[in-house]
Amino acid sequence: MLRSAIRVGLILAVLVSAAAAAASTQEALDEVTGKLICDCGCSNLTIKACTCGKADRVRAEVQARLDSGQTPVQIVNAYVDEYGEQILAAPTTKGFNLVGWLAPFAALLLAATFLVLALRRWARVPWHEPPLAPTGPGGPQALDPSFLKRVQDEVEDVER
Amino acid sequence: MPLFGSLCLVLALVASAWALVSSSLGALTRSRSLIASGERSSLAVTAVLGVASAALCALFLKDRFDVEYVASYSSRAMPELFKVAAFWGGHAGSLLLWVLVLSVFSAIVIVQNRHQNRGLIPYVVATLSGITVFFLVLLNFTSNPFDLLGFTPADGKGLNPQLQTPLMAIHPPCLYLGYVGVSVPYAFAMAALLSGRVGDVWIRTTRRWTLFAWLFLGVGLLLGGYWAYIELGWGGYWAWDPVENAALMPWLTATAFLHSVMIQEKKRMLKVWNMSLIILTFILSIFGTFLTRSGVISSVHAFAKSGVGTVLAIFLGAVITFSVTVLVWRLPRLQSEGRLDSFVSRESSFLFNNLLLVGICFTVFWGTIFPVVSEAVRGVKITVGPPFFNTVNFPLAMALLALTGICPLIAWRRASAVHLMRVFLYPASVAMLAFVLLLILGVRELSPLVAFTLCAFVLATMFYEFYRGSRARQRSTGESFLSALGKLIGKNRRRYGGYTVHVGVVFILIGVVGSSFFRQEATFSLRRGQTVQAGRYTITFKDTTSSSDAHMDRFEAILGLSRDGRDVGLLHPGRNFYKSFNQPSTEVDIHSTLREDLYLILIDFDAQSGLATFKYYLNPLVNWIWIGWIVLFIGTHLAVWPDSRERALLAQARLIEERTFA
Repeated sequence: MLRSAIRVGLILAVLVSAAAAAASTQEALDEVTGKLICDCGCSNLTIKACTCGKADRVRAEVQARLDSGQTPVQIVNAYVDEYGEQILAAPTTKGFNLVGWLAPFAALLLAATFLVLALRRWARVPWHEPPLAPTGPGGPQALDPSFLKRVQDEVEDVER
Repeated sequence: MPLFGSLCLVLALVASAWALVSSSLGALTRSRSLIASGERSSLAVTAVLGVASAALCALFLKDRFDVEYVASYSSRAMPELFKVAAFWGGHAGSLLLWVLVLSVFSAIVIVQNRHQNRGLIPYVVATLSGITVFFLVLLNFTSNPFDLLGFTPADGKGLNPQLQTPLMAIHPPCLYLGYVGVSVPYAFAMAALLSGRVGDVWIRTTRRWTLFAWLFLGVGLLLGGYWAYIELGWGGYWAWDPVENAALMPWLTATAFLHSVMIQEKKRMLKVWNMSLIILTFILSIFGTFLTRSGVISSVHAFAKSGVGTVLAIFLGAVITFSVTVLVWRLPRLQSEGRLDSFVSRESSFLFNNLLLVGICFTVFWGTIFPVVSEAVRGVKITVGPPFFNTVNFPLAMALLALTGICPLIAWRRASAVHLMRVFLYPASVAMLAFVLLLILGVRELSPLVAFTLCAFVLATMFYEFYRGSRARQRSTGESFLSALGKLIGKNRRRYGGYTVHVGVVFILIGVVGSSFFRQEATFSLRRGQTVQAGRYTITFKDTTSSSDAHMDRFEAILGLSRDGRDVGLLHPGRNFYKSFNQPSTEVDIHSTLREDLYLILIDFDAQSGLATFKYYLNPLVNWIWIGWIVLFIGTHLAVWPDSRERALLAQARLIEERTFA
């Protein structure tokens, strides 16, 4: 009984580890092929996404490299060595390429700062709307409340 | 007939050049006869280009392969629909379509404004004619679709098989309606600057044109995405291809413009900004044409060796120089007349919305041109593909989505803390509820969690706005809720049309997030009778069929599909072999539901072993993208529908302007 249980346990352990290995190989394959661009001319797709024959061949190559024990980083570097940086689907995060990654955020930050400063300046200046009615000695309080209510309603109606 | 077509192009060039000269002189000298002559010439250009286009269509339908353009893009075996669509399948024909659409728009503008905007129209006609002249110069001297080969081949090369779909017949014309439609508000902006009539008239007059161009750019993008999805066989709809980006950029700036003009209308502020946005939108529409035809950046859409890149670059430079010069010249007249009441107001939230839209546009522009920048600086070629655009744009898109929900809740002019608390309570509660629900459903990844929560927040805001407005009307009029809702929308079409558009955008984002983050895919091989499990679907390979006609050979696999044990139909993925192009083409089949698409591709079939290899993608929620576009389409129509209040405001603006310039 115990022997059978151990046998079943061992089989399960082998199956689970095989499944985990397959999953991790698939993950590694996706990781590598998601970083490489396909230059088949079909579209701007990664090797992972492209369905052309060339992408099929590269996926098989990557799978063979993974099976031979190479790590995803080693495989990506090997492709860069062979085809240049152009093979990468996105610029690296080193050197001048950092400008590519950071410029949008830097520009946005700069524009946001400018906008906040402009808004502060604009909002400080009082509203130059002409008065609704001439203000007499009694000031606005002298206006008929029903008139003020109507104006308020109409403003709200327009602004809705 | 080819000679007749060429003559028409020459005639159109001469007439449009006269329209430019006559309208410009008419505007400067205020000579009515010159202005009228310019308008008549512009109308003549439309007629002549209509005839030229009809001639090109006839050449395609008659298989006139002695014409180089027809021989390159058509073949005897092609169905007639695709022969007509081949008109814009290449560089020269697409230029003719461009200039035809532009001339038709010019004619509509002239007819619409026979008795109004007379101070602006000579400048508008001159600007539109200037653009027409440029494209006609290209057509006449570099890319004439009526050029003869000098011999008559037995058959033409045919249209690229992937373009032989009904969508191809409408995708480019829709995009061109958008690209060219932008020329009209741009021409009115230039007219306003040149004439000094920089009030509200040009903005109010062109609101529908801008919405029209914006809508068709969007519809063009949608059709392109849908075409890629059903035709290219990679299970996606957007690849950040440079030419996709080129159409997205003017759409983004036009979206910013549609929001910021509201501040000019209400506060008489942001005049310089609005002018800049419409100029930028037009420049980006020309930039798109430049990208497709220059060969500077490789793209799936590029027209091979069109050889007009330099000329287009010069035109782009000239447009930028002219527009910026005129804008700077008129800066003193573009001072803001109003001021903001408060930092926390709808006006300021619109400005942040503009910041993000233009920021996303800049990101797309920067990513598109960065390979060229990198090569110029480092001498190293690089690629900027989907991982860059997705990573950089995601946080910006989420911030924009949040603002889409926040903006309608903040009052115009000034928002008090009490008011904010009151209006945010309900949408924020719904968003919190959605967040918890997503966690319960097992969504753990941060990006989709944030995106779906924000989608719930925006939807709640929009429905709250509809509900709040209807209830307010119901209380004051005593109508039923549905009647109050109908009248609320009817009397505020622009506002509620806009909200409907926002609901459409949220649906699109739900589809994009669902299909991007939760997609499943697998490749599998089956023999007849064998099955495979794909999510909750069971796929059974049943049989194959093949057929052949003069045009192509077809091969199809037949697969049975069942979901949770119940039959849901058959799928027929296949491969076509187009004889005239000597090229195979993948024909995908899709089982669509609101929850997901099962997208099936036949990769290979080995007749000897009977083994067929397939690939499936399970794309969750992807149909919400197409539904979202339909909602967006409806919302835009609501917003664009004539409105008596808008008409009154336009008439008032015209009256003020006429008095000022009398």
